[in-house]
Parts: sequence; structure tokens; C-alpha cells
Amino acid sequence: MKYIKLYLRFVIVYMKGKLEYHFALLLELIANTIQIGIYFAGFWVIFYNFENIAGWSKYEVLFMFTTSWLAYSFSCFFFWSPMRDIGELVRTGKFDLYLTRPISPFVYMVIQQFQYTFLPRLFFSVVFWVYSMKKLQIDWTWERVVFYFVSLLAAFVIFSSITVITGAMSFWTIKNEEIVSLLTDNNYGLKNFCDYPIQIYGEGMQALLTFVIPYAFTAYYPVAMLLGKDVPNSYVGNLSPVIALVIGIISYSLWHIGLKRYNSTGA
Amino acid sequence: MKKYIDYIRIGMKEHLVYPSAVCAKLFSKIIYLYLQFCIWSALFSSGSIKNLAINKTDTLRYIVVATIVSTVIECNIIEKINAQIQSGNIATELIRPIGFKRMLFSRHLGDTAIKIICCLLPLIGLVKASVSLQLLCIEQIGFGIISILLAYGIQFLYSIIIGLLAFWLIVTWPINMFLSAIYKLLSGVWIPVTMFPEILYRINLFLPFRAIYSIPVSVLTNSMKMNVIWQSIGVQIIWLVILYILMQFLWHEGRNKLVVQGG
Repeated sequence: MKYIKLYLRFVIVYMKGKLEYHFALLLELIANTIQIGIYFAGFWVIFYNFENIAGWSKYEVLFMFTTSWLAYSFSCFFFWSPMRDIGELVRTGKFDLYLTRPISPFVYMVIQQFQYTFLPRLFFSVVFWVYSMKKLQIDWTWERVVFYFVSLLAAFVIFSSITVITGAMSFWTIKNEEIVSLLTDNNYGLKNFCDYPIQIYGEGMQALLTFVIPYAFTAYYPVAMLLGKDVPNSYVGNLSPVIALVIGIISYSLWHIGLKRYNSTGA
Repeated sequence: MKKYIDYIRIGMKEHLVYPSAVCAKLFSKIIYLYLQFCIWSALFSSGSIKNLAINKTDTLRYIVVATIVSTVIECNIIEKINAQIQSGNIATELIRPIGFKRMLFSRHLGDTAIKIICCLLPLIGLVKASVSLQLLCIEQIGFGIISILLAYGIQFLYSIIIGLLAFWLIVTWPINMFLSAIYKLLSGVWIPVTMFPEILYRINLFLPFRAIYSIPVSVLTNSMKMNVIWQSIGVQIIWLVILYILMQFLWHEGRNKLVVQGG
């Protein structure tokens, strides 16, 4: 409860600072909207020429990747910016500041910011998510709703944990930008692989996305199960919550080990 | 002349200081190429092709060559120009006895030289070893290279123009961000432009983006009639001239407008 109150306070302060430059704020929002809009435009161009991919129709793919994006946008809304900045904070020694606060540095980093730049992505995801759901006409029984909801939650945890792990790495390597961009870059990142059904990739890549960097659990496996698709490694299909739990624990411990290891660089 | 050669060297050295960044660059290109290859193969093997003017082999050739060519054509001077205009450091550049734009171009050449050695050649080797496709149209390779050089120039001018907008806007990353999104779609580096719906294709005819990837890659991979090739190269030359004039105009206007505080 105390955190929520604090968060609201922080959001107001943060937005006040940003609104000082309201033109820049508007520009940022427009730029993000167009960037995400173009991605959907490209998706539309692809499926203007093709009916389906690997047995998945346009709407099924759309439903799958908006599911993934939904979880991703929420996750980034909280964790992306702190985990991007932490490399710089550790390098310059400014992280000391966070250690002196009366709340845990992690919570402090998360609640002191408000990443409105992810709002356009979230907006588009919701719109196309609803649109694809309407087109698909899934028979939403109780079990399915619960299953889907739990999967979404698991996807949120998985994305957040991966972000936190890459952030925690900067306690060791000091420079984590390359790893971050390798995973989440909008053009080249590994995350883009989970926008399509993973059976279109080679077995090595499928294994990588399933067992090493479990992006496939954020949307592909749950949605495939929900829609009754054939999946490779079908025995892992329902494991999203377990994977989320495991990776969540890993990221939690990694963060705390890193935190103990932190030595200030500055004066 | 010698001073510009020195700048080429500086451009090369800037890269070599961070070998891990160069490796990451190559690695991300490989991942991207793999992603593109898988998606387009899967789309064509799904057997659900609607009205399509281009077949599977041509598409794969196009996609592979476009990704390989992109390692050379890419230009990241926008942020450099922005940073210099924002901080006012551009004033020191302007009093040096060298041309600012030529200096940028020399550095960019050095940058490209490293990319050719560290990204382009390994990528070509990898593709040759793993994909059994006849990628290039051998008879047109001369025209292809001319077309790539023109595209390289167009991309450089385009980047410098966006960078110079900082004279007026101060912060250009949002502009840069949304232009790069439009660029990604319309240049044809992601989706072949022949797949565009009619309206989008028409709009694109009047924009410079397709002259950067779509035209050179088509010349390299598709066998075309002589007049079509000349037409394509003509389009590129026209854009090169237009962008050059625009760049000169912005440069003169911007420089007159520039006020550096302090210093």
C-alpha cells in the first residue's frame, strides 16, 4: 500500500518534469506510435500476399504476437528503463544514491519512473488483440480463460525476469548494452523470433527459445495449446507457469548476488 | 587530400577500439538473416500464396542480398551530427581548415571499410557455406555495384539531412525514430517492394527510400532488360542530385542560423 502511494507521488513528479518540455513529449509519443504502427503495417503487407504461415492463419499469428506484446509492454513499462540505466549507474558509481534510500534499490528504481513511451505499443497491442480475438471466435470456457490468464501472467514474469537478468549482469560486466540489444532490439533482437510460430525455425533455434531464453513460453506455447495446434516438444506446452517461476527465482537471486557484489566506482 | 585519408583512418580506428561491438553487430546480422530466411521460406511453403508477382527463390535471393548489402549501406552519422550541434562543438569543427561534410564522409568511408572486412565478408562466407542459392545475377554485377555505390551516396545524404535538422529541432531522435520505421518498410530491406499493395507501391515511387535498397538489390538479383536497368540507375541519380541540393541548402541555412552560447 505504501508503495502505491509512493508510486503515484513519483509519477506526478516525473510527469511534471517531462511536461516542462511538452513538445518533446508529444514528439516522442508520435514517434513511438508511428514506429509500432509501421510494424503492424508490415505485418499487414506480408499477410496481404499470404494466407497463412506454418498452418497458422493471419488472425492466429496476430493473436499470438499481440498476446506476447501485451505482456512485453506491461513488463517494459516497469522494468525496461531501470534495467537499461543500471549499466550507466554502476559504471559512474551513481548507484550509491539508490543504496542510501530507505526502500530497496530495486523497488526505488522501478517506481521512480513512468515509461509513457510504451503506451502506444500497449494501445496497439490491445486494439489488435481484441480485433484478432473477435475474428478467431475462440470458445472461452472457464478453464480456457483461467489458462490464458495464467499464461499472460507467466509471460509478464518471463519478460520481466529476462530484463532483470540482463540488468543484473551489469554488476559483473559493467557494459550490458550489447546483450540487451541482442535480445530486444526492434530490428535484430532475438525477441522478434517469438512474433511467429516457432516451428518455422530450425531445431537448434527452437531449443534455444524454449530452454535457454524461454521467449517461446510467452505466447507461442500457451496460444498453440489454446488453439489446439501441433507443437514441437509438446510435453513442455503447458509449462509456462513453471518456467516463469524458475526464471523468476533465477533473476531474483542474480539481482541480489549482484547487489552484494557491487562496489562503488566513484569517489 | 592527405588529411581526409587521415580521417578515413580515424573512422576505422573508432571501430577497432570496440571489437566486441563489431562482433555483436555481425552476430545480430546473422540472427536477423536467419529470422528473415525462416519467415519467408515458411510463408512460401505454407502454400497459401495469393496474387504474387515474385516466386520463392527470387524472394529468398532478394532477402539474403538485401540483408548482406545493408551491412555496407547503413550509416550512423545522424547521432554524431546531432550531438555536435546540441553541444555546440560544431563551432570547433567549423573553424578547422577542412570541410565538415567531407570530413564526415571520410570518417564514414573508414567506418564502411571496417564493416566490409568484419561484417560483409564473413556474412558472405557464411551464406555461401550454408545456402545453396545462386544469389547474384552475374551478367549485371557491374551495374549492381554502380547501383550500390549510388545507394551508398543516397543513404549518406539522407542521413546528413536528418542530422542537420538538429539546427532547427535540437532533439532529432523522435524524427529519426519514426523516419527509420518508415524507411524500414518502404526501402524494401524488410519486405520486397513488389509485394506491396497498389497504393503503397504508388506512394513509394515518389519517395527516395526504394532507391536505397530495393533498386540496387533488384539490379543485383533479378535479370532485367537493359532499359530497365538504366531507368533504375537514372532514378537513383535523380535522387542523389535532389538530396545533394537539399543538403547544401539546409547546410547553408542552418549554419547561418547557428548560435553557439559560451565556448
